[in-house]
Order: sequence, then C-alpha cells, then structure tokens
Amino acid sequence: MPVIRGIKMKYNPTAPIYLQIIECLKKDIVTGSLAPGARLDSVRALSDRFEVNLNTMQRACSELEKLGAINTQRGIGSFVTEDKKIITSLQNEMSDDLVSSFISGMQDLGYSDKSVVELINKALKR
Amino acid sequence: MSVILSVENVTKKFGRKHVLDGVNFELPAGRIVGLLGPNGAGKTTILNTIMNIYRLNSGTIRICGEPNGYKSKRLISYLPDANHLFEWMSVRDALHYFTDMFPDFDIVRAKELCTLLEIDEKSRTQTLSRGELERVLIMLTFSRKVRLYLLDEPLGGIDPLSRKKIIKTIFSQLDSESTILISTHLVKDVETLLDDVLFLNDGKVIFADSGDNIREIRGQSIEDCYMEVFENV
Repeated sequence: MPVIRGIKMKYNPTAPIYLQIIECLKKDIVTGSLAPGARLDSVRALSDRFEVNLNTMQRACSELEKLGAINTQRGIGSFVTEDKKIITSLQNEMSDDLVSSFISGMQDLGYSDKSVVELINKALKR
Repeated sequence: MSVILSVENVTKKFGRKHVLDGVNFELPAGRIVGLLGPNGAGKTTILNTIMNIYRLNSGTIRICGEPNGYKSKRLISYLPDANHLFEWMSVRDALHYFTDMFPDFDIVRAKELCTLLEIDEKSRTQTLSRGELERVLIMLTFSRKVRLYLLDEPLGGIDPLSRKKIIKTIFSQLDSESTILISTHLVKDVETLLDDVLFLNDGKVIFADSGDNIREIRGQSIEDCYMEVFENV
C-alpha cells in the first residue's frame, strides 16, 4: 500500500478544498512517496484520510485524472501514472509556481533581480 | 440527479408570527447540506415541518417525490436537538428500541458505529455526558438506511474531540443515494464538511450556493461569506 504522508491537512478555508488536496497528492507523486504505478486507496478511504466530504475527494481525483497524474481502471482502482514525462511536467509546474511567487514577492519588497540572486546564493551557503 | 427533498413556498405561522415565510429549496441526492442561520431564524421549524411534526400553513414539501406525511417519515432519519430517549434506557435498550421501531435499522452498522464513536453499550443514557449522549444519538440516527438524514444542531455544546468524531461519522455516511441536511450555527466547524449551504434568516432562505463556489468565485471561506451576508441583511 502506498504511504501518503501521515500529516494532518490544515486547510485554508478561503481556497477550494479540492485544489488543496490536489496539491498535496501532486507533491506526493512528484517526490515519489506515491511511486509511479502505485495503487491509490479508494476514494472513500482517501476522503477519510483527508477528512473531507466524499464529493470533494471525488472531484480532486477526477481533476488529477484529467491532468494525467493518475489513471483509473474501472472496477480495479486508481494508479499513479508511470509516464515520467507527466511527472516531470508536474514537478516543473509546481516549481515554476513557487519561484514566480517568490520573485514577485521580492519585487514587491523592492529588490532588483541581481540582489535577489545574491540573497538566494547567500541563503544557500548557510 | 434525483431530488431527495423539495420545499416549495412553505410558510408556517405561530399565532401572528411568520416563522417560515415562503421557504424554497431543493436538495439533490448525494450531498451534505448546511442549513445555517442565527438563533430564531427558523432552522428547527423547517426540520420539524419536513418531519410533519408541525403542520404547514401553506406550501408543499416532498421527500423523494412523496408529499410529507405519515408515510414519508420512513424515508427520513431525524436527530432532534433535544434528547428523545427515555431516561431509564441503556444504550443497549435504545438499540433494541430502534430495531423494533424501524425496519431499516441496521444493527451491524450500529455496532460498527458504537466502536467508531467509542460508545459503551452498557451505559445508561441518564448518566451520559452531553458529548457521549450526542454520539449515541448520532449512532442511532445513522444506523438507519434512509434517503434523507436531518440533523438539528448536532455539534452545539459538544467538546472538540467528540465534534471531530461526529463529523467523521457524517462523512462516512454519505453515499450517492442519500442526502444529509445539517442545521447549525457553528459555521467554522462544518467548513470542510459541507457541499452546499443554505442561509436562513427570519424565515427566508436569503442565500444558497455550493461551498466550492464560495471559495472559488468569491474567494471567501463559508464563515466569511456568512458574516458578509448576515451583516448586510
């Protein structure tokens, strides 16, 4: 059985909950804690784990399926994709989001591109 | 999608006071719906009219297409806001009582829920704490297999741990055939529980939407939305 990190989800009540679950599962897929080809728990078991409504979980799963991150075989279960390309593109997408939100935050604070790079290098050396 | 409950133009007067003043809504199958509003908005009155405890002054209520009445009660499992068990009963007595009363009462499910909710079958209802009693009532309500579950303030005055167990039980109950209607004013606690919300004020539904729409389109939590709507009435 795949292990989804045993963390308690803390939901942000102002953002759609299904999106927050998708993010969490995407992270698990990208980091490999849900390995390629691994079988996902049933929607009911997942909704129990995430402590959300069954409809919310259903929606999260069908969105993940649309992204190609999981494949559902009727009557058998859902499996994490084995397509490395999809996993890599998920990872790129997530890192792009992080980087661009970081950069725009720094720009709001008035940092130039150059000093942003310097700050990152300094922080990485720590 | 089939309609479980439809409430059309329902009014209910107590004396001259309009407690329900033209209430309209429809609940499809497979949803958890919150009936939210301040004290005195008419939440309990709606549930009591659905249960045919109060007679309507006008309007119609249908449960799975059937007009509400003596017969439609078999389709509904109702958790009132006050304890309806006899004081002399132990939990085990209550299980027998419900088995006798309701042909759809599932004793296997009841035992499961007793374990899940940490209920001791030997304990007497008289000696139970508020939280324990509410857990027993939830167990009894959800051990019936019906199309519509009505819960009147199942979380009020309950400690956070019991509340969590109760919410988990509500989650586990939902399937595509039935619908759960919960009245509460503890908006924050039901944030991740609800599919849809109905805001009730002064005997009228003043707002209805899905939780996801509130979060996605309005960018608000259900609580923020509740505050905004009720501050502007």
